[in-house]
Amino acid sequence: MERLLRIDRRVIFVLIFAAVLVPFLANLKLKPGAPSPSTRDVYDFIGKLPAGAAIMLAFDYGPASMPELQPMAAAICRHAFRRDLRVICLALSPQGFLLADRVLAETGPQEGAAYGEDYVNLGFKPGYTAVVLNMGQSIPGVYSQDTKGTPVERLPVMRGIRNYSDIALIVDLASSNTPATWVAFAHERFKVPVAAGITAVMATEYYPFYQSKQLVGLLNGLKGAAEYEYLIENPDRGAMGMASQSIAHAVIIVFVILGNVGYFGARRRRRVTR
Amino acid sequence: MTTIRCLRVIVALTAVLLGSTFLSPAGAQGKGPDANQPPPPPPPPPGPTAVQVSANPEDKRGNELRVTWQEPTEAPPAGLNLAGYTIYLLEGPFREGRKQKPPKRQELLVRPERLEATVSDLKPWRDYRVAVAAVYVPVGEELMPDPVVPSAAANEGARESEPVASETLSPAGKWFKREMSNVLVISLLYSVIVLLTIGLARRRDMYVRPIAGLRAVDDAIGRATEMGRPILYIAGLSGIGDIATIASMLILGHLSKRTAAYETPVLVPCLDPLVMSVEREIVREAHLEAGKPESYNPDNIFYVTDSQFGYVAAVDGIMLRQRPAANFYMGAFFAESLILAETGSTTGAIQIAGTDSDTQLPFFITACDYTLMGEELYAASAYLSRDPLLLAQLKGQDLGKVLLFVMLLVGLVLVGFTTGPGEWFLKLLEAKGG
Amino acid sequence: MAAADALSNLTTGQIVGLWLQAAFTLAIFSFLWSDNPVYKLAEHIFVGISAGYGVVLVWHQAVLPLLLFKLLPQISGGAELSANYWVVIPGALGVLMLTRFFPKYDWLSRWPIAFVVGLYAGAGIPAVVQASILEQSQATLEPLKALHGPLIWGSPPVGSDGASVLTAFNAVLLLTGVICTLSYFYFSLPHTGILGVTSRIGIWFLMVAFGAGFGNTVMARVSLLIGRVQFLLEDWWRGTGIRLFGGG
Repeated sequence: MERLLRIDRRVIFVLIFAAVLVPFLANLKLKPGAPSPSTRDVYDFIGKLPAGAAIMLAFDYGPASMPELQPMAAAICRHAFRRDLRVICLALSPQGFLLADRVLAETGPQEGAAYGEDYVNLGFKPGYTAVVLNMGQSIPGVYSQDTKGTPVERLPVMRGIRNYSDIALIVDLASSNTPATWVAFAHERFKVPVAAGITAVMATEYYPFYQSKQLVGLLNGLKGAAEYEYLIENPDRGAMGMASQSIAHAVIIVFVILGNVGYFGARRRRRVTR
Repeated sequence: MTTIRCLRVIVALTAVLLGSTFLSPAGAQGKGPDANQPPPPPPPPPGPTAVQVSANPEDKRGNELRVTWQEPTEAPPAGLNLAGYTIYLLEGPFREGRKQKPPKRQELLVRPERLEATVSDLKPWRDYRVAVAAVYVPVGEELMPDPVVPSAAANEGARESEPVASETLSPAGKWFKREMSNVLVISLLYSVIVLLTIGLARRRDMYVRPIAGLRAVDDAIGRATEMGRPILYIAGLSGIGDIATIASMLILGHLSKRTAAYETPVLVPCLDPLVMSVEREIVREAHLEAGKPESYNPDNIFYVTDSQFGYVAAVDGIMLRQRPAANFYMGAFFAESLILAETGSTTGAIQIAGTDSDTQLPFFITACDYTLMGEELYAASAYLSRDPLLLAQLKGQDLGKVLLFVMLLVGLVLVGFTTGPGEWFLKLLEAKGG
Repeated sequence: MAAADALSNLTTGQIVGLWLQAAFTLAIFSFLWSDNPVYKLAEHIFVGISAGYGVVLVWHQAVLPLLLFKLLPQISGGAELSANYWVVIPGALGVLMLTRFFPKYDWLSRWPIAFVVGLYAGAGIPAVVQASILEQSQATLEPLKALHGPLIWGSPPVGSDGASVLTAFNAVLLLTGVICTLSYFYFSLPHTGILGVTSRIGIWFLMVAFGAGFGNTVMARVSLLIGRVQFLLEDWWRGTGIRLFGGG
């Protein structure tokens, strides 16, 4: 029994790696079940916005969280562009604006949206809470130009955007506790609807905000991204990872069971010996 | 010769000057009427009347003004129809005798049946005037907003009256937002509780239940000393303003005082330069208090980088190379917690964690020997330091929890068992924002 | 594969970038086997680049546009049209932070800290009371309305069908969880008697929450691995491998 507790960690690493790799090599695809209500709520909210409405996409994560959040960002951008919504991207995290550029450069042209007309990347501003609060007074006051140095008043996409009252929805894509900041300072204070796309690690922390309707919806990790991709009928990177995810989970469950069998077995044996 | 030339020049210049002043109209008249000359502009069409500005009673923040007006009393010029009104905002002090500033920004374009509008996005307590101009378009056309400047008319041949300005008024928000009273009451109540408990804590010691994880601290110090290995202390990855970082620094102070006696080094890699300087100060004082100022080595508290995973990579390296006998993770942690705790556990060190980052607690609980969960971290710092301020804070929080408990019980009875009072209670808790 | 198609138009610089990314990914993965010089090299380069990037970013995103361009619009290249001397005040507060390097004057750095702490506390306390206490309490109590059916005579029978009975049960479970967990974090009395019982139940609730958290994290970590494997297979191997080796 104690042998089970002494499995070389490298065996686990190799098996997990194989579980992730094989579905890609075998081109195995698994469709997730019905989308979670929290994902569907984001989709429905964006789906009901009138054409021309502006949504704000906050890229509050760095490259370390890219695999989970980048597919979400791409799916939301695609959905917004197809619905003729204006997309205003910005970042509270220093590297976020570069990741926003990547997503926009890929999805914009593919969906027939033009930079400056349909979407803009306003870039990073330091100061978290101060940035969120000040945009309640004036968005051009905080972001006077985009990442390319164009003054916002010259960008058609920013026409008529003064503060949160002109924003139909804020989607915070986050790998740290920024959704709480957006909820407390943008939603509670200025009553702008906020949704969040988060890494799965943060899910338990943010479901209470969804349950209390302080968040209109919640995309949870790669699964949330895959669900959204299927909702907009554009399976992409998120959906491609689902098979690997499921097999890796199965491997982990097996190891959890083995570990517990080993642990309780060893404990019983020690008791008997005593 | 030169004098004559000069005279000629003067005469010529005088002639030109006189000619331009007196002769040119005559000359123009001499040419007769010119068919290409544009006709003099027609007088501007009639403008609206009775333009009045008033504060919007619904405006809480003081950034809106309401403007009303009446239709022009005179008939529209021939061939034109009244198609709407355009609203201008004039900012800034308007004193008598001072040249009036030109209209600052064109705000809105409204349809002719509208005789009122709200101008928003103003700054509170600043002087504004609102001006209204009537817009006319050729008969048979509809008013079309300009695609570039939606507040202007795009119709060719559209004409505008002179803007008629209102009196000066400053929007003023409400000093007191009644719908936020519940927030005020809770904030005040809690402040009073904390102030009272601070007063009490200064006068007498207060009971805090013993916290299991703390007993392990001494074991960890003993083990490190026996093995002659350092202790690694991570004060979280948050800034100086984070309460978890402050609590962590107090625990570090306590730990340093204990280790100073045995001259066991405590390595403190830092992510934030401010936290680093405060930690140096705390550890130096701890060594002084322990009577071992010479054993304080500021180089043990060092800055690594402010990048999350860069920091983790460096700390993992320290764990594997220097093999500390005990690892402390106290403070706010994010995605790096499991990586740190995992690596630490592979080195066989005693690991004690404490964090208020709920999402990271599962990893510390599984990978560490002892974990202070959430508020236990604050409680531990109060317990160890016996600082009246911290004790009072802890007591204040406990009283806050009692209040919350009572509120939930009352809520259970009212919401679960009644309809009218239940709705009233839920409304009481409703936060309507500012 | 769309990704691979897009990658076939890569410039040499981008291909070098992809190879560097792949090399560093593999170098960091090598730590899973054991600590080694390649991992250490990658680690040190990462730490150095992160620190450098941070400095450059703060300079370009904060110091230049928020301070220097506003003071000296002529160096802003047209981004600022007129000088705004009010920024001298926050600028001076920022400079005071640098007094930390001079022990004799480091007390001056407390002023900017006091300013920031005061500002954030003022802005934050009402927002937190509203978002985390009032709204959350309301959301805890609101589902208790599901009890009306079974408990209030004459009220519409919302509790009669299976789903509503489950909602009512959830509501009570939620409230029990909140109250018991709160009691675990009550420090003013020893955990004996009733408090001992509720705090033990509270611990169970906490452990269930941690279990859910752990599960989600496993999902997140596997996602990160999937992201890297996707990069290695799609972007790096199929993207650049095809070009260099004529195969995938």
